[in-house]
Amino acid sequence: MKIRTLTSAAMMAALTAILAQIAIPIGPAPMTLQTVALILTTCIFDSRRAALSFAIYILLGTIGLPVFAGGKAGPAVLIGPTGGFLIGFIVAAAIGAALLRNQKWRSLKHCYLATFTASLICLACGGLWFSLIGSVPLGVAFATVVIPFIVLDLAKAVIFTPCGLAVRRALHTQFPKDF
Amino acid sequence: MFKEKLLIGQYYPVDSPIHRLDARAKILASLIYMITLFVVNNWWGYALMAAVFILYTAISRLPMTAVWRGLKVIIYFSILTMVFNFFFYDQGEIIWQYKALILTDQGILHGIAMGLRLLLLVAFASLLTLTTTPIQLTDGLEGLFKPLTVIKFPAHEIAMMTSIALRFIPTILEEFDRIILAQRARGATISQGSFLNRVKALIPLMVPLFVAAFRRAEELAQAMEAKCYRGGEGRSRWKVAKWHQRDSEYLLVFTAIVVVAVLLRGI
Repeated sequence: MKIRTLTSAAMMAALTAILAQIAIPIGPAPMTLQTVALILTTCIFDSRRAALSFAIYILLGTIGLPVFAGGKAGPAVLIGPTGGFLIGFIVAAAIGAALLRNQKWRSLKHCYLATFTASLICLACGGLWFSLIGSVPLGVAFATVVIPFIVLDLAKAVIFTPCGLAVRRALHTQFPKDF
Repeated sequence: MFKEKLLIGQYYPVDSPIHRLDARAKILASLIYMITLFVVNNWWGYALMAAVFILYTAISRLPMTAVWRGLKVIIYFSILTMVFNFFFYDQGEIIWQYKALILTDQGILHGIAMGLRLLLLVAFASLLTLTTTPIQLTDGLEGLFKPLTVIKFPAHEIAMMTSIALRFIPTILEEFDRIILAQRARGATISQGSFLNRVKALIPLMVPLFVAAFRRAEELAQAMEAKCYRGGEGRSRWKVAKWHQRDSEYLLVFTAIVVVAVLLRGI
């Protein structure tokens, strides 16, 4: 592994940890920027680094550091009902970023395609996990933890994908070799 | 709050036989316990696993409040699991029925078992982070995954990245505060206005935040290169974790628990 891969993936994990702590209060469950980190990672990284950075983030939370949404931590969160979303981040970021592998593809339209795919994959993983860990039928699991969040997550993707593209362009001008 | 908890995580500092064990032994034991939970298939088995959990908590001298804090996350979900299983299990004698909702006697038992299994699974896992510091756990995981470097699993690199992320979270947090102040000085309103305005206000924060963070990543990479960092091979440590006899004995106890759990299946 190259040193630059190592340091930038670690830094992204730290950024994700910080973003997950920022909450915008709406309704009963405040919206955290944890999923925004997924959108930004998808836009700026290649799939290997994207997956690595989320793996590190999850590891940080699992060993007990309060980095998960709302300052939660510990293996309990990973095994618990919403653990699938966390594992889904790794899969979603890897697939989303892989869709943007081709440099020519990094137009806003393609970024939207990638972030939408990533958000949906993440939700699907969350639903699957919920059904598996709670021994609940798949349909019930999707109705409780996936369908109510589809609109919100896609809305986040709509708002933050241009932001992700802007971040990527800024990083590309600063560090042309790495981004 | 976030910053203070960042270094110790959920670790509860008391001196107990469990706290003194090697992190590798504790990680392995937790895995064994979790797998065993899926082996047991009757009430004797669940009783055994619950007894192990209670005994373990007693030996580790953790106050009930600390353990409870870890359980809070999961308690509602295990109740939910229990209720779901009450109604989606169609074997056994029907006790109560309302249209498609069927409650059977076996369904209730099945639901309680599923809820209990989930509760024990999560409760035992959280004991790991209560008795071991994040740094010990990182080193422990690196040690456990070392054999996998043969198939190019980046065990050392992952541990390294974890420590880098840990070290830079406070730095980036400070930088983030500075960026917010800078944008405020330019007239940005960040915590006012409608929901959409608040979300939009975040965008001019993201670009400088990310550029600053990745500049640090680049500087760090240069510093590591300058100091001839070349991965984990031949790298020495300041603190070396030692495997004691008590760690082996501890794992032996857990192996015994697995054997008993398997034997209890037959009852």
